[in-house]
Amino acid sequence: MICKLVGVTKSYPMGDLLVQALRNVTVGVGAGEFTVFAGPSGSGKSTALNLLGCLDRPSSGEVLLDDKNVASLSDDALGAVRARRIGFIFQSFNLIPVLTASENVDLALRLAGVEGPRAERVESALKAVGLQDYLHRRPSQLSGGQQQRVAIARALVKSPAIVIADEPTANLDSTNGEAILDLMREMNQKNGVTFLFSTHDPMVMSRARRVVRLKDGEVVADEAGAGA
Amino acid sequence: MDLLVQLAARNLGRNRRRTILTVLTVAMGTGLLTVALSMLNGILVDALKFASAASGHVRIVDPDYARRDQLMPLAENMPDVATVVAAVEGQPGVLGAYAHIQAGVTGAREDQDIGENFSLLHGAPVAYYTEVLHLDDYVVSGRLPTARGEVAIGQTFAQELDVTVGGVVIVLGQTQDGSPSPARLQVVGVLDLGNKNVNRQSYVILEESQWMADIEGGATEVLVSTGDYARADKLAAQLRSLPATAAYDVAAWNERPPFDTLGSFLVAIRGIVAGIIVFITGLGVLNTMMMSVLERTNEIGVMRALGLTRRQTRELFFFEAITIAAIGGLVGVAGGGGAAFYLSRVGIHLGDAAAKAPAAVPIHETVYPHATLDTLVLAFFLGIAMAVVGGLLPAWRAANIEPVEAMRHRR
Repeated sequence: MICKLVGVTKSYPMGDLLVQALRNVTVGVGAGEFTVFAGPSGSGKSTALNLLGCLDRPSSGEVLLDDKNVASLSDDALGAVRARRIGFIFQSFNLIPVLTASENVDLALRLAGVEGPRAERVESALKAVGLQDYLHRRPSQLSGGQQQRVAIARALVKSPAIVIADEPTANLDSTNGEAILDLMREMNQKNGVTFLFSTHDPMVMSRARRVVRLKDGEVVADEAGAGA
Repeated sequence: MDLLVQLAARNLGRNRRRTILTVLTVAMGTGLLTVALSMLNGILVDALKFASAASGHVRIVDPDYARRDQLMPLAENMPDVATVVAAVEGQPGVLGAYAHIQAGVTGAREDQDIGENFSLLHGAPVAYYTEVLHLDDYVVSGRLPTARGEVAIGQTFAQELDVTVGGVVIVLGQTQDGSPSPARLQVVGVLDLGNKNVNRQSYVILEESQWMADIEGGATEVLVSTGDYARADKLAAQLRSLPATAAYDVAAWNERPPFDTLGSFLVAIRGIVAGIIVFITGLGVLNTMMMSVLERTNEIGVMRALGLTRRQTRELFFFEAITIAAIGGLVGVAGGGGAAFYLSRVGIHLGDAAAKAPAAVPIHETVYPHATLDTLVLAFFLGIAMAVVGGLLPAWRAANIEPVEAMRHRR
């Protein structure tokens, strides 16, 4: 397993109430998987993704990355783990608007502390997503689909252990959404990149090789997907 | 570090109108500060410089005179003043040493009753009037006294007596043993020193006041001038070691009242003025920087998710704030310096309130701001302080944005 939640509970205070987003969840993701966490809003899929992506800490339980519990690491240590080992793709693309496409991709390398020449890696990553002619465009000069491709290049350029994608097609039309999924699936199959999604989009679920269903903070099903 | 500088520079360009407004806020604050500090220089520092020279950068007096100098006791004088002056004048750092007598007198025209109008009468060598007080610059009619029987009087005193140059006044003072001592003096000059209290003073040559006070060959004090008035205390220490001054009290201007407290007063005034301007301008910077942080919450969350540490996040916003402050500071210092330079030529009229300032520290009715290099440098660095004040809270707020914010679905 690359990463795993072991007996994880996550609670949030909401006013006077304590909301349990995850209840004693144990689930892991192995190398080379193309896995979807599926479920309706409030099911806990995003919380699980945040914990596996080292963006948040559990209320109890363990978060294992490469068999090491990262739940108790300091903020900066968790940041270093994210910078070096985890790639992120967000629903709203979340590129830095003041940087060009190549600078956005380069940002991931710089924050990961990659030494030496980076330009070739950046160009190669953007070429892999078909944007070799858009290196110097700013996000505002790119379409939604192109922005998400830059986000994919940004996630992959540092060769992460796992790419966490939070509803990556939700802000795209169906054509662009399918194209993005095809691209990620191709990266998974050709290069063995591990992908973990959260979604409630049936189209995304249909491409997954494994679907983990959550409801009310618990795993209710863990099954092979149609894309297996 | 270069990543943060690059990001900060780019971020400043993303909302140009807001950046320009923030730069202008800092520029206005820095400019205002430059003018305010220059004005304080013009009012207080110059007044202090004049007053310290007038009362002696270093003053040598009888110890009993020093204890009661507010009363100007003529009996506590220095009979061997020439010996002291000669010993002091040869010392390094001394520009001049002048025997001086000052005494309260009343004045009247020959056809008036004596006792209605008061003046402070100075008796000193003419060189003291021209080289230390530069009184010749303030003569509005006539000239300075050069012989016995002559007096130059301030404009207020002249108006009160209703005399002009060529007129005669009867001045009634005292001898050192307290006997009345009248003198009939011809007015040879009228002076305007820009302050009503100072304009009540009168000036005669030393021999005249020696005769009036009955201190033949003596004086009540020796006033020593030096090139660097700020280091007068060092000169005082040097002069204390002379045999000729052993029996006397030797004190620098800033070791004597009211000047011993004026230095800290000046620092306090400067601090208050600077503090208020820095605080208000800092609020302006705080407002725009905080808006920027709130707008970029999601973006900061993304960078935190990608590995930007809390410290780097703080530094990013500090770089932005300090860049704004540096540009605003330079513009403000240039604008404020220009305004101060212009005002230093035309002057600022403060009105009657300033004219009523005490003669010991005279503030002129029209002040001329004095922008020095250290004022400009101070104003610039206080501009940076504005950014620190205004950037601190937004930077702290930005550093506390959790990386999980990146997952919240808003743009």
